Amino acid sequence: MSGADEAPGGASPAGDGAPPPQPAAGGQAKGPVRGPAKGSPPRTGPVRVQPAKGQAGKGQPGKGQPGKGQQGGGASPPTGPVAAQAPRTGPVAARPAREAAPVPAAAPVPEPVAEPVSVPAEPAPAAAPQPEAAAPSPVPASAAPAPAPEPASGRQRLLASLAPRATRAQLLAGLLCLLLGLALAVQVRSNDEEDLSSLRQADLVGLLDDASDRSERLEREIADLERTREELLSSGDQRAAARDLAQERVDALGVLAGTAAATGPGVRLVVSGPGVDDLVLLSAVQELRDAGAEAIQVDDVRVVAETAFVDGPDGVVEVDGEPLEGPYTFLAIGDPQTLASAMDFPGGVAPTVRLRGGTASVDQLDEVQVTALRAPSEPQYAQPVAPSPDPTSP
Amino acid sequence: MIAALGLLLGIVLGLLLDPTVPPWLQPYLPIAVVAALDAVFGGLRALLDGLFDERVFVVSFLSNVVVAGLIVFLGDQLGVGNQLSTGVVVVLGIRIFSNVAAIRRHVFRA
Repeated sequence: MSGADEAPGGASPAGDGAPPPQPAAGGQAKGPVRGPAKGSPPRTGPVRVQPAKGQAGKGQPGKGQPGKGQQGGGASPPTGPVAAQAPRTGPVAARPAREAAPVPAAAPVPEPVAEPVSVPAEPAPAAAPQPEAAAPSPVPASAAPAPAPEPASGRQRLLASLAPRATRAQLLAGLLCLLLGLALAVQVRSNDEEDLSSLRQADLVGLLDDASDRSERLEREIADLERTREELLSSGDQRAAARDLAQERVDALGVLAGTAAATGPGVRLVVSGPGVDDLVLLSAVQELRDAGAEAIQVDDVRVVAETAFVDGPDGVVEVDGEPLEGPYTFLAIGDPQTLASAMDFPGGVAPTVRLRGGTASVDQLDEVQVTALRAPSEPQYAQPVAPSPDPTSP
Repeated sequence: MIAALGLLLGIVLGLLLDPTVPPWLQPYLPIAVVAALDAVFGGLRALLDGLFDERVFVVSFLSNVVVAGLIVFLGDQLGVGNQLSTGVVVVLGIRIFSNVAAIRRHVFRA
């Protein structure tokens, strides 16, 4: 497990190439590994550790050989840790040396003790606890005051490091971490915003192309839709006008064709008597039409273009197949005055009827209701000719 | 301690102030952040190993950031900025993982 973990870590960063062998090879490997790490920061630990190492014997040559520490230079913190197992023992001694300067005399004593103990323990990643275990023994032995707390595990070191020491380097590190936190937060924030400004030029050009393509397409669409809208509006007007016109014509034609009831000023003509026959009725209709009657009905029969008056037996007159008997009542819509005079002029309908011994009366009315209807009939033979191109000129 | 406080303070400041990143810095900021994270984890690991040294930390932090930025800059100039950025992130990510593995061993003994 630990080996697997370490392998990638060591393999990829060239500087840490050494670590993988380290856990496996134990003491000997540790030396070189640690070398690169120490190579860069020799100012701190190694210098002081050197005497200790010299006693340990193993560490020293290792340190010396791997002068190839160049790789480790930049990555010193990571590398160092990879070499952890080895340093762990070293610093254990080094730390006390650093902090309890007067103690170094005592330090060397525990150190050799700790080192050999830790070396065999090296392969196991759990080397940390072991030095710990080893540490207590030297402590009582040497009775060194400082080393006792220091050789602790990483955890304890972590806790110990929490104590703020306001050295310049610490402050600098804090400042850097502050910058890192700032950058982190800003980056996360700006990433949330999906800011275009974080994109590269090529991406921006692509986005711009996309956007202009799309806007072009949309503009074309807009133009199309606007044209369609105008067409619809104008044609809508035309259609409405045509519909109105058509409705007017339907109404007018309905009155003419007898399919619609009509009302308006007009006259009522009542004729009766022995001399009233189909000819009299026909001439009455002719006179009324001549005088401008717009809708006419006889009794309950609407008079239209194809209305026919046929003499029937026993003084019955068939109007459009409907047998009617006198008195015949004509209702006609038109100018009452004109219609009335058209009935009364000499030689007209009323004098003729009276001549024949019948009676005829004409009443001018303000409102005449022509309510008799005639079912529209489909022409059987007549076909409509193509409508005239101009609907407004019927 | 100071470093941890600084980190927290920086995050809070960044969230509160929400400063705008100058355009020239924008391509490099993510990489720089990852590189700095690598340095921070490396430092933490060194701390647990008892190897921590502030000067080393500062230098490695700065050099990590500068090198990462340089690589990305170079990649941009060569027209492979995206690929190089990915490469840098992968490498740094692996390093962070290995460092975290070591830290984990210290902290959890496992």
